[in-house]
Amino acid sequence: MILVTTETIAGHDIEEQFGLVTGSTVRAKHIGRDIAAFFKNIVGGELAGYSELLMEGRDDAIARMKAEADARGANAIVCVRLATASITQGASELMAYGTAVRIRRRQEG
Amino acid sequence: MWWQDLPFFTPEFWINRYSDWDRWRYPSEWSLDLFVNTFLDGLIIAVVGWIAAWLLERRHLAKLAAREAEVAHITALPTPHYNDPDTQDVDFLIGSAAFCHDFFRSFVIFIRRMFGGHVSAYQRLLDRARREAMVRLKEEAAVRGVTTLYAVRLEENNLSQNFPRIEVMAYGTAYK
Repeated sequence: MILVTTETIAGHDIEEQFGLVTGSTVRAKHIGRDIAAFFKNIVGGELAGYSELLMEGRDDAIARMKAEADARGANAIVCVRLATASITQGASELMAYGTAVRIRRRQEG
Repeated sequence: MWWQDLPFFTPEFWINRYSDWDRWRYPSEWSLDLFVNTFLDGLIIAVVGWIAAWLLERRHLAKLAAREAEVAHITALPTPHYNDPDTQDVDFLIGSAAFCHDFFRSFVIFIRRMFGGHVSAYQRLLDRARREAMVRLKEEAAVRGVTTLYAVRLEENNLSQNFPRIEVMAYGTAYK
């Protein structure tokens, strides 16, 4: 499965499109991470726990989007966008969406 | 141990300190002594945190500048079009960083917002997070030996209503 943020895939032709595919997940870290983040707020800096949480969630959302595209018979997703929504403190919704397409490598000449 | 007899380590000290923690609500009770007893520890934590944050930020920005120089040969373009027929491989890359700043700066922002204008404290936090996210994205590209990223998008996300926490994500497509 090929994922791109561009509208087309270089060197390939889009044969068929299967419409919008989405994948989303809501994630939270355990309370220990929230307490650690509170103490981190005293001195500022990177919130490693939250960075990790969001990246894990994003991988999950992308996997779900890929599964949906697979089920429709697509072999690539173009124009992929990622969106994040903070529902409450320490919990976020991660979402990935794009257009599922079937592509074929362009023949030389 | 001798230090166990110091007032700071006795339970009485803390009980006296916090048993009347809401005395500051009554103006008739106001005095310097009351102010010191109620707010001083918080103030000390904030000021110490502020100094630590300042040092940590300087160190981080120095490191960031060095890492940016290392990946300076990689270009991130927001252009959504790319049609080189020789493309062999495609990769979807993400770089993200969650950052917060110290409580003292939140207080500075609170004061600043009363007067309005350019809130430089927030600007610094956002710039720092954005640069970090971009560097992470470019480092991913460097690992794969790519020099140009297309259709790069930047997205900011507020993690909390009560604390100054933001996350910046940069994502794009690498063609080989």
